[in-house]
Amino acid sequence: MSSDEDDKAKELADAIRALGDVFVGRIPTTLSSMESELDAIIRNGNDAAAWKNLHRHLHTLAGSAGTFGLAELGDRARSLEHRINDMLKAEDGSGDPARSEFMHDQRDFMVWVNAQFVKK
Amino acid sequence: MAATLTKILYVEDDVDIQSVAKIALEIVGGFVLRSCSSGKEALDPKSVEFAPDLMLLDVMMPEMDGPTTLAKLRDYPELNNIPVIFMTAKVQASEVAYYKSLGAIGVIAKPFDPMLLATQIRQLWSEVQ
Repeated sequence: MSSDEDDKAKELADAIRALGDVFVGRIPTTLSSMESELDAIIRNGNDAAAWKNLHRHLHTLAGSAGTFGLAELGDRARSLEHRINDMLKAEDGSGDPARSEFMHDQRDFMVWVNAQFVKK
Repeated sequence: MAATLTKILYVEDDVDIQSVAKIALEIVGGFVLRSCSSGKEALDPKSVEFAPDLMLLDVMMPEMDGPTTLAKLRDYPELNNIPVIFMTAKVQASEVAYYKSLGAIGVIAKPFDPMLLATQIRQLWSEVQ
């Protein structure tokens, strides 16, 4: 790698690190938003807007985390995002047990994210 | 199609991903970008004035997704033949085939490696030259 390429790589790495710090700093807000959507879903399991918003939060979290090299965070968020897709496709009621299990796993995920990324 | 790849119209709703890609493409790739945060913003006539050599579109965006954005961008005669690349986490063979059926020259998987993004784009561009 030439000196110029080294400089560019360092500049890029520094910029991504700074953006990653900002991303991690916003995680508490993301968790709070997901908590609100979960509460709405608990009140009404068919709240389409809440499911859509929760899906959007997970999708965004998955995409950004992966881009910043936070692979486990990205993978776990992506997995939950896909499960929402699958549940919402199941219109025959067969998705109900999956919804209960999802809610449990979503809570576990949020506890894990909080422990890993939110400064006490 | 332009002889050289310089200007990219980039559409991505996620502010973090957009920031990383913008830095990667400008610093590492040396490209000139017009970045838009939604399909609606991309459809502004400023995109035509920008005269991109390539369009780089996120697939999953709220309100107007990437394929819909592409279809509407194609309504501009100036953008009708501009090569397009989609960026998405959905890169199973059938999904890639679908994006190519829409006219994409390729698909870049998300999450992407910022250091390699410019190279990936140049590679896809060169394959259709």
